[in-house]
Amino acid sequence: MKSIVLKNIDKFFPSSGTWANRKASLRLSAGEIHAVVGENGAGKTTLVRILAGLEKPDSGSLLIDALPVSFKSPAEAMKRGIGMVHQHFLTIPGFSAGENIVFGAEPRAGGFFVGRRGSERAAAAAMRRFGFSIDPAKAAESLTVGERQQVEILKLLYRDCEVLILDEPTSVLTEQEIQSLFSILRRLREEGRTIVIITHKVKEVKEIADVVSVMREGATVGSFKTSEVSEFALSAAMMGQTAFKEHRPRARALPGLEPVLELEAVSLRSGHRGAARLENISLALGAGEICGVCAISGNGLLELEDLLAGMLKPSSGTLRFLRAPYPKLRSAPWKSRGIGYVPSDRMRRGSCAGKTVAENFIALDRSTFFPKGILDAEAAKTASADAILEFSIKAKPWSFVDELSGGSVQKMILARELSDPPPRLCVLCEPTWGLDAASTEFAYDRILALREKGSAILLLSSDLDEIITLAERIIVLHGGRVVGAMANDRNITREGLGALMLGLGAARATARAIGGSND
Amino acid sequence: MATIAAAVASACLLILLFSKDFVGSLYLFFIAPLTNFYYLGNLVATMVPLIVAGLGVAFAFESRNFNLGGEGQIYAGALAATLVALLLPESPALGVQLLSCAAAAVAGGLIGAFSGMLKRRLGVDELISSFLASSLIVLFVDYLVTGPFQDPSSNFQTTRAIAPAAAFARIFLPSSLSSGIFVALLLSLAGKAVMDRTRFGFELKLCGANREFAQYAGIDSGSYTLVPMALSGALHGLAGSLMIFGSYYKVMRGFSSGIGWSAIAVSLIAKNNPLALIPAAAFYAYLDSGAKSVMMGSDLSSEIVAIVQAVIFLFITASRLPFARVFASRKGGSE
Repeated sequence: MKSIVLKNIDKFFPSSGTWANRKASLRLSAGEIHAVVGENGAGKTTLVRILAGLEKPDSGSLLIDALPVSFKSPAEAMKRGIGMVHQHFLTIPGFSAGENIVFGAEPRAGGFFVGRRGSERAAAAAMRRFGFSIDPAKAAESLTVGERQQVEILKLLYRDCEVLILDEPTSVLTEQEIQSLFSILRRLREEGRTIVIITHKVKEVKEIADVVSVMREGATVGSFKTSEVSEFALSAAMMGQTAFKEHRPRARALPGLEPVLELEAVSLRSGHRGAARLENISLALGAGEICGVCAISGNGLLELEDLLAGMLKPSSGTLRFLRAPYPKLRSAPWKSRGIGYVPSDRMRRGSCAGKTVAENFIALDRSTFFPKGILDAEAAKTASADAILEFSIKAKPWSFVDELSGGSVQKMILARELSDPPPRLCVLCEPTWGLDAASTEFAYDRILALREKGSAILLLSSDLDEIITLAERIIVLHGGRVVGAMANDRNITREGLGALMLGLGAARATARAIGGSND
Repeated sequence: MATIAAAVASACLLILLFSKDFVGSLYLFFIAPLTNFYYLGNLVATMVPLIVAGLGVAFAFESRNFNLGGEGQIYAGALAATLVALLLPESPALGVQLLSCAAAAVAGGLIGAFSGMLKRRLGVDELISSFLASSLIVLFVDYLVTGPFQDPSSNFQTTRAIAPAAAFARIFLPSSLSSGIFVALLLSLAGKAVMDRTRFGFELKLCGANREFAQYAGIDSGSYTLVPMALSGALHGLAGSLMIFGSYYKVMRGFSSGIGWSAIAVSLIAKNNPLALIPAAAFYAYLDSGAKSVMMGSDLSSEIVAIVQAVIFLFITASRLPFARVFASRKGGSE
């Protein structure tokens, strides 16, 4: 194999109504490490899944050494030497490392499997050959994350893969593990293998990759030699230069008002080993203010959401709501319309598939709809029918949630959380993710109307346009820390924010950091 | 309909293969159970514990907890009911019945709650723990029945019988049907109302459908592990006591004899719908009585009969009964 070319790949996902790939291309040569970078939802993973035979493109072509091929399954791609290490490892617990490596391609003697010992011997031979050093007899569940990743890579090498695709390989690794992964990748490159690595960490691209392809909104927007492109140029290419929508926020200084939400030096550690997921986050939010918090996924946005949802407790620091300790989820202060919360995961947390719109609607306010513990079916139907009318949701009270479009589900959640009287605090997480333009516009109008009514709004979003469109103040998280806090004025650029989100130019950001809501 | 036809056809094929008197066996299996009040009464009597224990299974399943301890809970409930009734020989029948049934529900409920508590506090899989606890309980009750509470005047391994005055009224004598069937039907209706019309039922089903959403809605999902398991155990215990007062009057060794497992099957057919439990239990009881009648009346061995029964049942569960589907789609059932 000398080259692989993916040309003009289109891929539409009807379930979400989105084009994951639109005229996407990728050109790989033997013996290179090729990074594919882009924002969340830029279509990176879909494109390499097509390469690995896990998805079929709607149109476009895949050429190996200039000959067109099409893979019906990952097994066919594997036959041509193309394999993928998934973001979530597929090691089988209960099996040893060695058994995991040869699983599905077990060495045989006279048509019979050779058993655990034989598998481990074969795995050990492969490890010697490729310079790995994991004990093949070690149980899969006792491997470290880094070791499990190596097992996944060995699985592919054992099957003679020449093209190894790694989806976000460094997101779960410690610094040392990243370094040892990189030295493995370099060694494989020396052997003439091709490595495709998906990432959104620009620094790592510069460190490891020879070539980088940038994707945005499903399309490949550029391909560069890494030695010839700067980190800032890369992040600008990733973030794009889209025009801002018209309603830019008016700065509304409301001095002297007491803060609705306060976070004071909040940290969150996971488990007893204590890797920090959030570190020393402080912010104050006043009435009538929209504060945007943006980050690339895996940098603390979800953790912050869970803290504000009351699903996680901070390891240290305090959260306060109206000067009182932050209330428990749906406890009395929530219920009296104190807090509205739109979760980012709308299908699992925000709604219950398999139940009707009415059932979803009454779920949060059960004391109203179940007076004395008995269902008031009439009230439930009226309330949900009213919400459907007010938010123009394309559904009936008795439609099942899994029959609705993503936009309708989100409108249902917005209707439930943001209806009058306006909550004092709104925690909105990715409120327009995956919505079409009309629904997005509708949601923005609602959010701005809430601000007019004096709600304090915390907007957690990985969508920079959304943050810039709505927020008066922007906080940027990277690696669980605040790396930038600034007013949303004319000096804010997509590229600047993008660089902060990617962990670049932290020094520059701190110089500009502004603490409060006033300019 | 096609499924039922296929099920009956394959049952016929099996009988054709193994029986010399094909038509006679067929008659015994499918028609005889419906021909007289004795068979019919026994059939309906079998439904009683199936409905009540099936309701217990349904409440656990709807909250996504799996109670596989039905056998032990029924057995323990039956013993508790019998012991209370034996302690109060001269009391008015209704009082004895209520107290005994309550004791049975408490006994079963405690066993169920034990597994629920283990899951809530320690994350122990309730499917395993309820099964293991039940296996232990069965041995323990075996010991009690054949040891301390053994009827000294009997050669069988059994407790003494409760006072005849305390028992439920019999219907269709000499069949074993009693007024207990009305209790079962009432419970099924009540179960339906609780599941569909009350806050408890709503929260329970939300926890079963999507635990994360339930938590987001502020439901204490932990207690919806404990309470449904306890309720499930209590209903199983109650099923045991209804068998005592309706048909058996005493606890023999091996009393529950698979009712707990059959109740799971019945609840599966009914898709956990309390009202659908009634036809599901009737169907199961019909197959059961057909099997008994063909075993006694024909040359078929009991193993073959069991296989025929299993084949029919497999077909039906695989596709779900049409009525179960109707009920399910009405109440909105995606899995």
